[in-house]
Amino acid sequence: MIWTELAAPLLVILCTLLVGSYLLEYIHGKAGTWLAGGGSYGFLMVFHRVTFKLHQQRISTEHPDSLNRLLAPALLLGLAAMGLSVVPWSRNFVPADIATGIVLWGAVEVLATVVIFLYGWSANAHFPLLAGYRYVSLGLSYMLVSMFVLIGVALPAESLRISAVVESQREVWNIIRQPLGLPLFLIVGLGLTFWGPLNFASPKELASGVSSDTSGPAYVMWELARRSMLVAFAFIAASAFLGGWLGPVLPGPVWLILKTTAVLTVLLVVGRLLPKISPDGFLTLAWVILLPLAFVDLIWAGVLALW
Amino acid sequence: MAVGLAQAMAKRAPVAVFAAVGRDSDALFAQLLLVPEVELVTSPRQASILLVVGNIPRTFVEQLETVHDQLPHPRGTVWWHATPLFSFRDQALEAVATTAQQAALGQLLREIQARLLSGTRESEPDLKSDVPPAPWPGKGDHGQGGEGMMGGMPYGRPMAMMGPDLRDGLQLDEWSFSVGPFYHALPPGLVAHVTLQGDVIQQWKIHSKPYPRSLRSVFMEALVAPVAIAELEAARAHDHLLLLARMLQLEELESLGYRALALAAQLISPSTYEEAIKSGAVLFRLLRVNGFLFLGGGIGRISARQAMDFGGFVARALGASEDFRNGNDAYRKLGFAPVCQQAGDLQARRIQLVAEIEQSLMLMRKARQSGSLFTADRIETLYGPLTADQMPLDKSDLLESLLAGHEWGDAVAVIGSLPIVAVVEQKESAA
Repeated sequence: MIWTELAAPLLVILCTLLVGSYLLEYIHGKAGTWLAGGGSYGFLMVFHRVTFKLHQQRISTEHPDSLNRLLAPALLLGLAAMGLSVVPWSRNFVPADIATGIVLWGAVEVLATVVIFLYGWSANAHFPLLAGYRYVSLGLSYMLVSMFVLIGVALPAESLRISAVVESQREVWNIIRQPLGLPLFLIVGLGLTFWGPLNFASPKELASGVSSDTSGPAYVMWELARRSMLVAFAFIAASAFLGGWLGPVLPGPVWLILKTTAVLTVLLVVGRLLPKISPDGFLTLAWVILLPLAFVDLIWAGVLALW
Repeated sequence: MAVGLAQAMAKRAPVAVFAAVGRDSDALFAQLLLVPEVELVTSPRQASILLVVGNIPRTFVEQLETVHDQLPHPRGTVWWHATPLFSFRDQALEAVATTAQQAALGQLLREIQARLLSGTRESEPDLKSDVPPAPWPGKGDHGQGGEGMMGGMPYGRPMAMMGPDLRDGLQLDEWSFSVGPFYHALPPGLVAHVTLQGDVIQQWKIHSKPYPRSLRSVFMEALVAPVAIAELEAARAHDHLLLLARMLQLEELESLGYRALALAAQLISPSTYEEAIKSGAVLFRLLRVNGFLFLGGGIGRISARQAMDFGGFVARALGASEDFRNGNDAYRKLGFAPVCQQAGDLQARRIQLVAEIEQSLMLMRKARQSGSLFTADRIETLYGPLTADQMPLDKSDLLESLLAGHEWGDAVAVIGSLPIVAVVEQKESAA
């Protein structure tokens, strides 16, 4: 029981986050060289960069909030692991098959906002603080969209359990049943992990924002945590909209990994291709366009459920 | 064995470089971005090598030393076409590079990083002492008390005091700081004293103007004698592409920025003009679909008077159709017609910049076939009109009125879209 209920799920989650982060970084690098029309990004480049960073000194700023500075990357990684734990890998294997998996993911998103802000605040330096506050100021804009979209996928399942959401897609995937859902949810993913066009917490114009005073192993840890959160998000998106582990011929976990990789690839290519949106611009976009679309998506899901 | 393997892996990583750009070094910096071994970082905390590109004025030695000390160990400094401004007791630590070859520079940087990682090259010690600039002793026996409650200088830095917000008059804490001269998002040499409330600029005061630049010789030659239009338009497109690449980098579009730089590099030699035209077509197609030309509306709108001060593509982005190539027979035969936008904001300048680069590439292609020549007493450049008597002037003072009320990211994008630096003769810029 200790193995099946505790050790195996922990091992699966840890391996998934580590391997997923590697795969994410590899796809991100390949997408970059493809769009740039030149350069190369080999399989081992991720390890070269990580080992280089591990050789660098870990910088400390003047009078940081050391506890939060040390804990934030670990907390973000822990939140990613928690979010991944409710994703079913097959009919019989769900690390934590709680009845309110969707609510847990919502809580993960909110707590991630707190952790990312704390990371910027705890540096006691200019640009990290600015970036942290800016991230928080925009957090609500996409979190509301996320909640409405996820309630939409819970309606046909008549449950908040992620495994039930996957089971409800046996006949048709939610991406077809609720076409607005996945595009809106992908935007949420970019915002949550401050990636690509929605990089408000680690942008170039703030000299890497919350990470501008981070170096060495601490930098590796933070970037690993950030990528882990995106990996966990991709798994949730694949489960909520693309049928999760469901699929013919191949084993369930293989289907889940393929679908998650597809979601990650779309996110990473979009992240490389689209320009950064200004905070004011995103605020307007989120509240004037995305949120009404999320309402439409929810109403549509409700009509389908009642029909 | 594990340590050796980790070091061997680390040595194959791209060299993390923080570039401190000096006088008239745009062309060198553009080359640097194309060196495959180099990863340019925006924060010195993530670099292992401080690369000084071009000569830095001695007035900025202290700032350079501060940036140097921010690099984590193991660290090194390389002076690329630059006179060293500081040195260490161990003279083996000095590294001066004068190569113009990308491959040679990349090799040198990789070698230095490898030696830093293996310990065969010492990490450079701090140049400044690691003590607070102004310790806060307070007045009490235990260091407490003093003026720090509602003002004063705790830890040597002024307390954030409240001031009215420009937008709605709310009293919010203001934060004042100095940015530059090595801040990557600003023109090299620009130092500004900025006051923010949140991330909105309340005040932007220029403390030191950016370094002036020189133009390629073909622009000056065109004032006195006929030059090949193909070469002139290639030089114009090259300068515009460097500005476009900078704008793309600031918008997190590193891949497209790399394409723009690679395209600019192809415009240096006539033998690669044809490849440049093909590369340009791909770049502009990507820019038209990814939304870069749809964003920036209403941001950084300049007045008609300011636009006339700028001239060039900035003025034409506000509808001023003056273009000194207009009316010239040689250009007319090539099918030249001025392109204009109307809004005069960041979006209009982006659209205008891309349109003028495309136009220059088209003119270059046609002029190569026809062998057309051009000379005039006024030449269009990126920085505005060039005449024998007047070079384009520095326009950074305009930022003081333009940037107030803008959010930080928008302000940086606006600065990136305006060619504010002065132009000087090449020998002056090297001083």
